[in-house]
Amino acid sequence: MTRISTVIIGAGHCGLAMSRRLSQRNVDHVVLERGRVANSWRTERWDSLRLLTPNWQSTLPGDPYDGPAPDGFMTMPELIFRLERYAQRGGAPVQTQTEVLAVHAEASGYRVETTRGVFHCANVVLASGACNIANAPAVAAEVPRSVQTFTPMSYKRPADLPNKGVLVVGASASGVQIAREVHASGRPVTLAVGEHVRVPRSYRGRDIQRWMQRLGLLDQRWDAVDDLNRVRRTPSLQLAGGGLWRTLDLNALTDDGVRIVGRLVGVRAGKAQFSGSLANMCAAADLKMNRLLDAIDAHVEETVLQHVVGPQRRLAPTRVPSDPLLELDFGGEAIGSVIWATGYRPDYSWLHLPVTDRKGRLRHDGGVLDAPGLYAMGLPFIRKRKSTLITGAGDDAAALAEHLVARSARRLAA
Amino acid sequence: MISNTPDTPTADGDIAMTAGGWRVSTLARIGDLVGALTGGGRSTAQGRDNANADKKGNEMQTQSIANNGVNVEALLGAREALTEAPEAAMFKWRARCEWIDGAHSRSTVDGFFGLGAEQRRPQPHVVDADHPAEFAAMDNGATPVELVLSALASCLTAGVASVAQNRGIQLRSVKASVEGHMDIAGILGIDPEVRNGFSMIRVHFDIDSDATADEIAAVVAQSQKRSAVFDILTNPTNVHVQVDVRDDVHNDDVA
Repeated sequence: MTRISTVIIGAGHCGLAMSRRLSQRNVDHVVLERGRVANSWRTERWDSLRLLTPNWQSTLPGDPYDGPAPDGFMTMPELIFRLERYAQRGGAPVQTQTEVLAVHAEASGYRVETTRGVFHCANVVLASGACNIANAPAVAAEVPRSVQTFTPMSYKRPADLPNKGVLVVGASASGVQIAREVHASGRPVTLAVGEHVRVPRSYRGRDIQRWMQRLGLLDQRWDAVDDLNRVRRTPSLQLAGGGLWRTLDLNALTDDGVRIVGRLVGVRAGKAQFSGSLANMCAAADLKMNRLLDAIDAHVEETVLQHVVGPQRRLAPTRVPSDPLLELDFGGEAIGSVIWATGYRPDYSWLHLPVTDRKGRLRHDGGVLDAPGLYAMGLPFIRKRKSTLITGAGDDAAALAEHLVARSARRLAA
Repeated sequence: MISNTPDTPTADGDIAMTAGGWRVSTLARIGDLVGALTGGGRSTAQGRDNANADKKGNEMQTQSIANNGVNVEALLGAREALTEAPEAAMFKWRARCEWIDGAHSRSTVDGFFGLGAEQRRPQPHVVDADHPAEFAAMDNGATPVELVLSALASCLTAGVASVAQNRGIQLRSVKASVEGHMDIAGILGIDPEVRNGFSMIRVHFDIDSDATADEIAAVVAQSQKRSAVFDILTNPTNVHVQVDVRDDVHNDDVA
């Protein structure tokens, strides 16, 4: 049994950023990690994945990017190396191979049960990630047994898939990247496309992340947006980090020969059914993208950047097939596997506290939960638009550490 | 926000909780409209999330308040209230239909279940359906498939009006024409490979408003995104049909 002020659950970028902030404030804490540092980045990503944010942006507090390629995109081994180095240099008190089994409230705080004993603490920081479980729709259960199913967490490389056609469901960041490399491996891909957020990798000579930062979008706060639930549900930007400044959109995939179909809405009698809404999904994504680019153009005008940035070259409208496929016969079309790239959700099955809503999502105000001394990090737009990015962890950790320290001071004073 | 006190009127008096559940007063077109009111695009005067909205839209919005006859406040209030009380959002829509003669039938819609209780309109609505003379019928009403097209047009048009108002866009006229393509070799049983339903539907909107082409395109896109009939037509739905057989038939007829 250990008594300690604060337990941080998870030694990924969020947990390590929080550890650094708490150390700066002399808060006694431990970082519990079920595997090794950066465990999810090590074990739950596919081989070719690179970060979607450029290196100059993918930083943690006190650790600016000092490598040779600020505009490049880190591979997973590079990121893992940096996170390990960050933990070592900061002296983060990480206890690895320690899985949290349960968190309960008790009189003076929380009881954290792990595979290596019990911790009693006043504060708990949930930094266990936003992507613990890959979502799959209910109809996934209807897919014929002969078809193998994967998620972006279980998929590693094209060679692991049967040498047949592949249905990739979901056209956000994970879906489009996996669709491209699987199709390139000679397995013909059909990509089911629902709501998605199309952006060019770069615009007017600058990475899109650079523009989003410049326009203040990344620093937009949770308490300053009108429809928080909607922005928290917004799918990830349709981006890829591989290949400098290369845009990966539906047009690029169509050029590769990937077949684009509507959102998967049913599986019946060995056939997948797709929605007839594809044209509208694409039109809406094009309009939304162009509004963002309009905002960038307006910013360029206002700040007289015209002479230092590139021309206003827009991506062509998404080419939608005139008669998109509505049904796909798994047997007849020789589909060997389905990859559900339909989003992720966190797993709080071990959190035995009344802090979730009816859909199992944490109820919180900017990461401060409705239970004293309980905090969460790393979820979409938890405090800012950038909260979901590695670079968002520093600010969120600073704000929540400040809250934690102020609360502890009040407790002592009382 | 809805008060938990029975019979307490809400801020705008549009939904109130009664002892027996939920009561509607002026919750117009809730099926199509609640939820039609979010999404990117032109922002409203209330400081909607407008990271992507262009400045011109904001200026136009503050100059004049659009009025398309949609009670946006009531719908936004309903949306907020139903978020807090998800069971009240469970609706059952109904229609009754009676055969008259030949292909002619008459449907009546009056009651529905929603907001936790049975609801009833003051007057029933009656819709006749028939087939045209080309099908050797009496043409006493639109064909059922034309009613489906008209339902799609009406649903999208109602959505356009409400989304536009929420975004501060004044509509002057909205006209929709809808065309459903069908090979009737399906319904006539000539070719089993031809489906009975539409092979494709085209909708054309002609909209006169104070907004730019892109803003209107965004309104129409959002209207599709939140349209019940668009969803019904583009996605599969399980349909369960039961039959109550009158058992007073003569055995001779059955044989």
